Amino acid sequence: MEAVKVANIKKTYSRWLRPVKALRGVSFKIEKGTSVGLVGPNGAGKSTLVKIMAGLLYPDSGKVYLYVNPPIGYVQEEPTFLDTTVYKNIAYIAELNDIPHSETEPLFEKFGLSDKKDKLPSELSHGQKKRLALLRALLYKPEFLILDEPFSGLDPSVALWMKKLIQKLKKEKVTLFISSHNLPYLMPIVDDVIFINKGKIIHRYPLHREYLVKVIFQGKWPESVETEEISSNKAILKVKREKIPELIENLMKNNVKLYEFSPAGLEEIYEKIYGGRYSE
Amino acid sequence: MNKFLTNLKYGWSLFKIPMFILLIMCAIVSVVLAYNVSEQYNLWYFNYLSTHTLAETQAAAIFSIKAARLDFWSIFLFYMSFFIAPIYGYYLSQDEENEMNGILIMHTSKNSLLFSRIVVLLCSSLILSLIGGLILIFLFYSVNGVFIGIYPDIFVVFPIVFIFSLLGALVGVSFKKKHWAIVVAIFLVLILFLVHNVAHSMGDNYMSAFMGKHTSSLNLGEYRAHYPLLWKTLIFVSPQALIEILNPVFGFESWNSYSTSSISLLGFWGDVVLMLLWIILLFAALYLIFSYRHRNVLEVMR
Repeated sequence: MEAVKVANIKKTYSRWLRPVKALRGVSFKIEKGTSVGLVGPNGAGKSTLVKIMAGLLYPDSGKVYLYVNPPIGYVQEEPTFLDTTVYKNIAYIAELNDIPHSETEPLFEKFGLSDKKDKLPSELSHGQKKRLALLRALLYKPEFLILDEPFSGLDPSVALWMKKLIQKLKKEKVTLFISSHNLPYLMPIVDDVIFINKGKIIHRYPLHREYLVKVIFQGKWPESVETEEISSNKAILKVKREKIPELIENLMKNNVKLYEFSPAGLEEIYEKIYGGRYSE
Repeated sequence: MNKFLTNLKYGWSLFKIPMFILLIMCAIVSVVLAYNVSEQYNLWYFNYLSTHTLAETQAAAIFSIKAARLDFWSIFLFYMSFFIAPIYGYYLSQDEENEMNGILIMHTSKNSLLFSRIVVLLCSSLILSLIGGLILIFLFYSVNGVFIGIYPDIFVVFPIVFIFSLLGALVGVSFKKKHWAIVVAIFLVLILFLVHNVAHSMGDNYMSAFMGKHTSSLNLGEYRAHYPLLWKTLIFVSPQALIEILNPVFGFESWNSYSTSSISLLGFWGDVVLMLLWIILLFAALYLIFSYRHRNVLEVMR
């Protein structure tokens, strides 16, 4: 069942009267309870797409259809808040969603912000701002959550905390859409990755259906096994999850010595898809 | 209604610092102006009393007090508009710049959000006008020992302050960068006053020359009819011009010789209609720009 359908989104900005096409007809669907990553180089149109999906930016054409109950959750890359205390920022959203104060209090504790309630958001560190933005977005238990670069600028401990929280949300079947540059963090979280460049989706990689596998080997690679990329001792190939034992058996039968057999990281996928092509 | 009240409550909370700045500026401007008009009245009174009987002086004093009140409010509006428009512009644009209006609209309707902010504008405009009036009453009494009223002045000044705040708010929602909103609001007010003043002097000069050529004096209706439409129109480019409503209300039209400082060029009802038109047009423009900026992107299918 669909949670979100993005239909033919186009957006052009005018920069010093020169049109810059940020999105050139982007369409995709997100299934309920799945998590989808959005990856692309700087200037590819990721932030524009995320803002449009969050309802903060109006596209020139196209629509975003929501099959989940609003409001959706949205965490910005550089979180912004009202010019009032941390507590009031949360209390305002809570009151708009009829959430009693008794329910918001434990959340400050959970997000490590209980001693920051009387501070202004501008006085918080970047990591604390991210946690506050996440608290604001999770306060009303959204069915669909958009995270724009959730790991950027975070120290490893906060990034790990963020990753665990996102994994927990995934287990709770919250539909997630995550735009991120941090591929090692993104890889275990998402089911699908959408690759975007120059305002267009250039690839959608279903991580939950097939793996891109990296094999370090010695010997003659059998011709019957198709690869995406091959050199004298390294091969990258696509394989369905259930076919992995069969593949290993086949390679061993053909006297191929395996030194490493591992899922390719998103870095390899990223490198394979984009090569050296960037939109900047 | 519940969400509207929540928006209103937090709208006020967010307006605390801008309101504090406006109150300080209002107090400073009001004290200086109120002391000035009180002192001027004091000088005039004793000067007049020395050459007239007490009964004559008291009759003239009623008009003179009204003139002092009109003077106070005209200059009060002039100075305060340079603070009101940019501060309201800042207030409305800061949450456009940081996308907070968009985030709030995820949880509430845009109409509820906008109307709550306009109610904040309305109430704060009333508070500023009342504070100005109270300072005038207090200082006039301190200097002259005379209690003056601020009725009906407040019913003219408050809508004009509100018009300036709407003007600032319109700039605020039109310019997403708060610093630009401040700069544009100041320049806008400056330009409106410049056009108003130039039109005023051009129109008055034309009428002086016109009346000089005619031996028979013009009545009020003829004066208004002969006042050039171009200058008349440009005078009302600035909302401050609406203060002229007080001229017929205070009875200056039947007392002074005709000049634009003592008559209403449009007549009382003309001014009232223009005041309503200002408010309605600014409100409509604000609503349209805000609604356009926050168009609905997400189509909820359940």
